[in-house]
Amino acid sequence: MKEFNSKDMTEKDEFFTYGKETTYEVPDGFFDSIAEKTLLLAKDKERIHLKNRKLWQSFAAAASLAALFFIGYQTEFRHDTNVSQLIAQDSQLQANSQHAIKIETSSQKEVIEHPKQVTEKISIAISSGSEAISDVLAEFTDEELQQMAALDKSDPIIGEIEQ
Amino acid sequence: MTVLMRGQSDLEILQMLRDPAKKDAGFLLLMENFKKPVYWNIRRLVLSHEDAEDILQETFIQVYRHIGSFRGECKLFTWLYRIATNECTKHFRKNKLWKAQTGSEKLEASGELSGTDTEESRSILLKFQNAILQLPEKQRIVFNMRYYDELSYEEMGQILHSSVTSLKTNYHYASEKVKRYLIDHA
Repeated sequence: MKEFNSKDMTEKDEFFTYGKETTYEVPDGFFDSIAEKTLLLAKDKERIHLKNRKLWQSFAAAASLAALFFIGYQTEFRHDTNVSQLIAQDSQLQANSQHAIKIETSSQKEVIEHPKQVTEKISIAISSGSEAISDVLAEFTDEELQQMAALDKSDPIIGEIEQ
Repeated sequence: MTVLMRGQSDLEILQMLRDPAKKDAGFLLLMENFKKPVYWNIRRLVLSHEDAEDILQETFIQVYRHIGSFRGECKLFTWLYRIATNECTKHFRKNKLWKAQTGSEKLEASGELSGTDTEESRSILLKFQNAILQLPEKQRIVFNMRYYDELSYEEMGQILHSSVTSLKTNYHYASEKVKRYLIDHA
């Protein structure tokens, strides 16, 4: 079995008088039945272990599916949110641009209506005489005069007046 | 105690254990060869027969379940002893009350002394066993393996994951303490 040197033998001989026996008792037939009993226990434990493993596998699969659904739902929800945000942004932009167009239109209207008033004033002045024209022109501000100059060529009414 | 005196070789038993069709037969063969030395190794550490039986069964159940992880780097009995010793250590950790008791209290509390011995020889054996029981855990394990199981330091090193030097030191201190105890209680 094993080879011991002289030192090993000395170590063991130290307690030679006490021998290798123990005072412990073992119930009768214990060693005869322990192997079969342990085998049954081992098989039981193995079966329980396998059952638990299958259970865990099913649980893990279910958990994975749930996680996938959750991730999928979250992604879709975010996508929907993004789309609605884009739609909202788009309609905001549209509203803004419409507002801008309105402002522009109204200012253009003002610009168009203003020379009309000016030309009406001038028409009245022409019919009243040259002194009246000078008085009307003196009432105009610099800005109004500039506008008049800008409309000079384009506006047919002013053209008619000049002629 | 002759640990290695058995009919089948490690290889034969391992082959049977790894073959699903022969696993149960291989397990019974393994138990037939090792149940006694492993039981006594455990029993000398935990004293109570019930505890020793539980640990013995747990040891072999571990073998049955994890035989696939045994790579044959050491002898089968070394692996078995390692599992058994680990299970005993776990048992010690669980039963802190047991550790707090003195050696003689432990032996008397176990109530497992044989009635067949004569009064004198019984007294001598009791004294010797008490001397071993008063050793610290590691020294007791080393002393038992060396003295009763006659394992070499190299084998013990594989079982306990310790160096030969450390084991020799442990055995030396243990035997000195046992001798002192025997002198003091002569």
